This record gives sequence, C-alpha cells and structure tokens, in this order.
Amino acid sequence: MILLLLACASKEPENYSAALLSLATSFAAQEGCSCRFVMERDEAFCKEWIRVSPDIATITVDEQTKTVTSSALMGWKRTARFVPGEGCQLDPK
Amino acid sequence: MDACPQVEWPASDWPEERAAGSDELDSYLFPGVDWTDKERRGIRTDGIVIVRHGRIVYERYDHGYTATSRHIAWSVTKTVIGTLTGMAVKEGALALDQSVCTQVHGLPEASCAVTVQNLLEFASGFEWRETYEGHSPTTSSVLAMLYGEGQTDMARFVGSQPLRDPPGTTFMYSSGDTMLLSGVVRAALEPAHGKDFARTMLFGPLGMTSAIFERDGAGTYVGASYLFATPRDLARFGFLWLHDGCWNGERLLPDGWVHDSLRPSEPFLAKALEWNPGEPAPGRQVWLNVQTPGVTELPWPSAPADTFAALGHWSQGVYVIPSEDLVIVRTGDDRDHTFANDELLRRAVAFARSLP
Repeated sequence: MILLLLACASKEPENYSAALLSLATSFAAQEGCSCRFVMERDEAFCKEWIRVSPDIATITVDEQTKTVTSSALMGWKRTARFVPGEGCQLDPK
Repeated sequence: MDACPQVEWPASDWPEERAAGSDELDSYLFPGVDWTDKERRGIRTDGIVIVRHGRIVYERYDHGYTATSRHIAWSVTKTVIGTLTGMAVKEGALALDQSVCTQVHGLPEASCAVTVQNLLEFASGFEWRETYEGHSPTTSSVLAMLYGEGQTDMARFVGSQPLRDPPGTTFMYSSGDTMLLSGVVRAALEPAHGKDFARTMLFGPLGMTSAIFERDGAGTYVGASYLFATPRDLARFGFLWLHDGCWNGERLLPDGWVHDSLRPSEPFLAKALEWNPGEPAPGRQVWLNVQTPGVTELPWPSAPADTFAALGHWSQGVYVIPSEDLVIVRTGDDRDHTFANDELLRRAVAFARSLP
C-alpha cells in the first residue's frame, strides 16, 4: 500500500504540484466569491465563469456566511469571504 | 490653470437619447453565441454603453447582465490607479520623480531606484512574467501575486523582485508595476483621505455608486485588476478622461495630466519588451491609438488618431474619442481572440456619425 502511494506520488504530473493546487484553489475561491457576491450572478453561472484549464478546483457557495470555499485534490482548500462595500478577500491560510 | 470644459455633466444617472438602434453594432457585438458552449468561442459581449455628447445613445446587455450589474473590469482598473496617482500628485502628496521607497518601506535597496513615473510608464525594470491562461500557471508572476505568495501584500511582493533592466529604460507591460503603484498611492493618500480614498476622492464625486474595489491581504486596492462596476459607471470614468480630468466643472487631475498621459512614454520608445508591432502604444496606464516606430498603420486604423482606451482581460474596454465626443464601454467574456477593438471602434464611430 505504501509502495503504491509512493508510486502514485512519484507519477504525480507536474500539473498537480502543490504550487498549482494552491494557485487553483485561491483563484477559484477569490473569483467565485466575487462572481457570486460582487457581480451577484448565480452559483451555476459562477462555476462556469471561473472554469479555467487545468480545471482542478471546485467551489461551494455558503449563502449564509457569504463565503466561497474551493477544494482540489489532496485536501487543498481555500475560502474567500465577502464584506459589503469591500468585495471579496481570501482568508489567511 | 486651464479652465475645465463647459459641458452638461451627468447627474445621478445618465441622460439618454436613443433615436436609433444599430444593426452594425448589434451584429458584431451580439452575434448570437451559444452561451452554453463549453469552448466559449466567439464574441461574447455582455454589456455595451455608448455616450455621445454626454448622453447614452446605445446600450445593450446579454448573458443575464443588466444596467445595474457590476462587471469585473480586469486591467481597466490600471487606468483607475493612473488616475488616483494623478490626484495624489495634484494635492502634493506624491511627485513623479519620487522613489517608491519613500512610500513603501522595507523594500530591497535596489528597488529604491524605481520612481512613481517608472511605474506609471510600465518601466520599473522588475523581473516579471505577465502570463495568464495558456501558459504554465506556476511560472506566472501575475498568478503568484494574485493567488500565491504575493497575495498577502502584493505591492511588497512586486517591490521585492530583482531588477531585469535599470528603472526607466525599458517598457514591459506588468500588472506588478500597477500593483506597486497602488501601494505607493495608498501610502500617499490614506493619511488624509482614509482607507476608502478611491471612493471618497474619485468614485463618490463621479457618482460611480456601483464601484467596488477589492483589496489584497494587506488592505491595498488590487489596482491591477479588481475593480467592479456597471458599464454606466465605467462610462463616467471615461467621461472624466474625455474632459481633461474635470468633473462638474472642477479639475480633479492636474493641469496637463491627461495630455501627458496620452503620449507614448520615453522608455517605450527606447526599448519595448513583450510588445508586438501593431498593438496600441502605452501612455501612463492607458493605451493609445498612435503611430509607433516602424509601423505605418495606426493600431486601430478605423478609429480617429486621438482614440485612447483602458483595456482589460477577456476584452473589457473603456474607449474615449475626444474628436467625436464619444465614450464607449464594452464588457465581455471573450475567451478567444475573435474580438477586435478596431472593428468595434469602426462601427461605433460610424453609428455615432449617423446620429442627428
């Protein structure tokens, strides 16, 4: 099992480096939040609006807290928060 | 001091005068794209406002946007930072030859050779890779600034880059230069005007009530890309530039600022990197339809030579044509390069000239 994991890890494509996953989740959270709460478009619109290549991050909108959380492989997550008049900002890591 | 032009300034909303539609504009801007197309091909205009003689003469929206929808301005925002820089200079809070280190503290010694003017002219000389979709994301300086290690303090991130060229010698378009300028302007204006200085000094007076200007982790406006506003409000910003930096008869920009901003910069004429012949020439955080060395045609040959514009990713644009008394705002979601500024300008000018 460990060997299998190591094998997977070593085959991890450059595309899915930690740096890329971090960028992708931050981008999706920030732009998804701005799309939903600043541009005030609906969730389906925003999911399509933030779709870029490689398409590796998904978003969840929380209408109550006005936050958007993005997730990607290997547990990468990032949240952006809307404040009226200010727009969206990423939460500190 | 030059007097402000005497014109009818828009009140809380634009006056309208819509005598005619325009098949020419409709067919180019709204070709009936399939908005569900996963490839997102073609010209995907979602908002257009044309203001002639201070009145809206053409306006249309698509893809669920309306006259009251805020749209991301992307790099149109840079021209707003150029404007706020001018306002800071006007009140003596900033000088063009001032080192960035007088405002943003703790930068490497080498960065202190960079001046406000260098940043305005995209001539800081900082090492920078301005790449977006279609390139490896992890080698992009812009993405690192907006979503990576730079996000907590973008101005400081930019100011900490090594120099590629001596400041003021070389033009290279860089969101980093604008972002450091945003930090410099903030330090200059915040003490007297508070943290919402863009609203109190610019958006408020212009009546841009929809404007939201997002900030980075350090509280600095993301001046490279994160202004959101309605096309009608962006047209107010264009109207300010159309009228020499005046609003309601009051001068907001220094005498001569607009004139000086609309000339190709010296660094650009000396050495331009990552710039292709035929592209509009850079002024101070604004794009110009002027002849450039070695190119016979204007960048936008169908448009008057005094046309200038604030331009952004996915084909956002605020175009100003003083000789036609025109402001054109176009918002879009263009993911390929089908849309051509020149074609929009050609049709918009023809339409405007056809009006009574």
